[in-house]
Amino acid sequence: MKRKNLMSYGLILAGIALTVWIWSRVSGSGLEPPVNRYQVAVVVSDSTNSRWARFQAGIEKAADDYNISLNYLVTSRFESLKEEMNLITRASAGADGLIVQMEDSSGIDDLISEISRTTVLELIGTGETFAQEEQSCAGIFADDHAIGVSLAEVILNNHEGESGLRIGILSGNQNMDMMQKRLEAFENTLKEHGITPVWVIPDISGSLSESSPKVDIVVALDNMNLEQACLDLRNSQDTELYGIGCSDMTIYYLDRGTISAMIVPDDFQMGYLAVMEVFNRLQAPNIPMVSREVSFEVIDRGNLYSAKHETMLFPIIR
Amino acid sequence: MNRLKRTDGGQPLSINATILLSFTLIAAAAILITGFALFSQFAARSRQMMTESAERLTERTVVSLEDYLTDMRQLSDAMYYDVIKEHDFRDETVDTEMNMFYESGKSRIVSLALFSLTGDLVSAAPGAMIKQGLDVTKESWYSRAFAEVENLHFSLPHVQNLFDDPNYRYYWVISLSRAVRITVNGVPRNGVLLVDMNYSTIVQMLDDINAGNSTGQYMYLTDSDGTIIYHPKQMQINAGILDENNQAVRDYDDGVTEEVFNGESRVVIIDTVSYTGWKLVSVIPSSSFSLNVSQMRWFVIMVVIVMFLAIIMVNRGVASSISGPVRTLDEAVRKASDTNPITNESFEKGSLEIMHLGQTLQNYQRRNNELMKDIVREQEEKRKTELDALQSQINPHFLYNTLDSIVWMIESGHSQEAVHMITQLANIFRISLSKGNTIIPIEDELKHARNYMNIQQVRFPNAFQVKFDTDPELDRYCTVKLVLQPLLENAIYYGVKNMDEDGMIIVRDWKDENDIYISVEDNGFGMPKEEVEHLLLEDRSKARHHGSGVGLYNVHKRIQLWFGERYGLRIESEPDVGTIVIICFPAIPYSEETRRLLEEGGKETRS
Repeated sequence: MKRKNLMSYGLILAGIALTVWIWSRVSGSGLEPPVNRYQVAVVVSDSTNSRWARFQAGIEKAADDYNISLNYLVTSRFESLKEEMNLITRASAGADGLIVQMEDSSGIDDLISEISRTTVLELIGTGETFAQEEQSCAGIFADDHAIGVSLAEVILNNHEGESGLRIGILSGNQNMDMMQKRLEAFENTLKEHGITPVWVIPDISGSLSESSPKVDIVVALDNMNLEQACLDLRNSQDTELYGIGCSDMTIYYLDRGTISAMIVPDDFQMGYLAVMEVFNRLQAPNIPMVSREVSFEVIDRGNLYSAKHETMLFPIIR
Repeated sequence: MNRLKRTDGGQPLSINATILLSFTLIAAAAILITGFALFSQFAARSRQMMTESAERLTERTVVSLEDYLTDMRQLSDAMYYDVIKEHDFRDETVDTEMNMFYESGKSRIVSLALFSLTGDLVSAAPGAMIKQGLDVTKESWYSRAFAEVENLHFSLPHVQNLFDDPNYRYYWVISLSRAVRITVNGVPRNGVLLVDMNYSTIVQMLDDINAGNSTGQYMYLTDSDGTIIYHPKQMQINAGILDENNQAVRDYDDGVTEEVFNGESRVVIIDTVSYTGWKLVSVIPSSSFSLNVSQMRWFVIMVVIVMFLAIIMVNRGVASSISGPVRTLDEAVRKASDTNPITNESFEKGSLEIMHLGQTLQNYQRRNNELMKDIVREQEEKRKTELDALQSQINPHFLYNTLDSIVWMIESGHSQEAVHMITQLANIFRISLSKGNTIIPIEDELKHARNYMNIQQVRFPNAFQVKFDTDPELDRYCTVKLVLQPLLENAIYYGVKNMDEDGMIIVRDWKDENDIYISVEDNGFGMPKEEVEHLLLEDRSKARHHGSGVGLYNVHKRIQLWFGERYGLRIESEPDVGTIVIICFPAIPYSEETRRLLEEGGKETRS
């Protein structure tokens, strides 16, 4: 047989052998492509608090849908920006994506720029300001201005025609951009109706009745203050409580009537979309990240058990 | 060899390539069609099996759901008929019995409660404080109980809104409510028995089933209006992130339906849960079918590739076996010549047609060779005729001069010289005749030369001397006869004839490797170089003043005709110095057999 023929037959046999080998490899692994699971870390303050339950349900569902390995860091409440920055820096090591709630919006630009060069960064609640689409950074947030306005309007509607309303505000952490917006919008709306808060304090130290002048209405602009106010005012008959919250406790006191009305951002949606956005960025690094806005609901005792609010407030089946 | 081209300029394919290409194309088409048909058949069968499997799973799940719901109805029945109807609530309670029922089924129920017509709580398990200000008569499960008092009513999943739980826990339940008759002081009054079923039991049951399917297939549950009761992506749907085609389910009958939702076609299997009218929907997206057949697809592709490669290999063998004998024959025909005939080996391994063709070509070649040989033979004859003619040009010329000399001797009384001349002449003619042979030993040619020179020395007394310096060992080599005589004649007539005893003619012979050389050298007048150059040309007009040169040319031509172009004469001459003419021919030992072969076999035998 000629050398050329021998080479031809050799090549054909090699082709057959290669095909069979590839097949044996492929069939042995069940034809499943290699799983490339992205690692995404989540850093929020006081992560075990039930206020994050809906948010956590959202990120877990999304992680399941997008086959993402989730590292939900167990944290206590951040005492300082430095502590949080250290934690974020550690969490970003080895992670493909990072979902972060910033407790302090000031002086973190450099940190965001640095992390977003190597890690896809999604900012919770404060994203609108820090979203830098040319980098791997975007935000997901509720419209805090609209939340502040809505909360004021609920109070004004419930007390339509009344004058001389005395309102005290628990403004929460005003280092946070979102909290600043809520307070500003809330106060401005009240001002438009001639109402000026009797007091504005960041949080309750000790007992509310002891530390602050008596008011008709207490308004808590964050979940933590709202929970504290619930405990202080649960037996009060002459002070109404309004606020922004989302924990089981605040829902319970809304159900009991301690809270007259509460604004609840859709935390499930926020968590889900945060993971989805990180995944999309990791899949398509050339497509700019988009900051997203989630909805919120004004809930009172009358509509707490509506089908729409039930699924929003109680996403977890017990 | 130039590549053959068609008249249209295209390159013709070889038989091997044509067979290989056509067989491979046909086989590839057959394999692809077969593979596609098998794969399609498998895909259809797989689709059918998946659908049937999903149908069976849906049926089993519906049975499980019905069992669960039947248990709940039986629990409600037992509570009503065995407990509530047996008590008068004026001074009795059913708390103990209700707790017993709760304890027996608490993994599947959240609470049991009995309400009066006004919505007051009569009894409940587990013991808990009802929410302040709660008016259960406004609850849908309450109103539905009285809407159809003879039935049990299952609500949609909802968060239980009955009891105060200071631990902030809220439960998703499905409320099973019925209108009951409560006896108080002997008087039956209306009330509502509520069994809050743990919704997570249904969720867990269906989650487990959905978790067991990794191909994208899933189940969800709706009420008769298409409102979702359970969905594996319910949270995403509630949040508006995903959607489901549940509203269409309302119009679907039980069985298998195909639908297109969000651009994807999918098979939907509907099975209704008895009593409740709930519909269990099993969804098989088209991608699930694809996933299921993907392994088969790879297998078919692999088989097609292997078969294709194997077919190429087999086709090469088939093409070679068919075209091989043709190529062998073609090769044999290409190389065929009179000395390289088409042999039987070149076609005897082929088919009948090839053998027939080979034999025909072989016969053609044989006949062609014979014809060629005839032509060669004719040419040989023609050459010999020409040689004879050339040879005959010598004899009359010499004979006339010799006889003239003999006449002169006789007339002048030199009878002894005349006898000697005639004897020498007789020897010359004897050798010239040589029994009709053309090839003679060198010895005879030298004798002939001596005889000739003896005659010439008689004719030209005291004009020159002759010396034969020859090697006796070369005497028995072959030469063409009468090649020396013309050279000697030229040496005499154009060299030394008029030199008055100073003339010298020397004849030498020697052997150099495979050739023999005989030279005739004279010290005559010689010739200029340009004249020498024209002596052996057919057109010898420029050498005419030195004789016609016919003798030299004839000898030269004769030697070449007998032994080939590389042999013949070489002439060196210088004016007033002399001339040497060298004959060159191959060294062939003389024998009768050699002579015969040379004279009969022609030039190819000699070379």
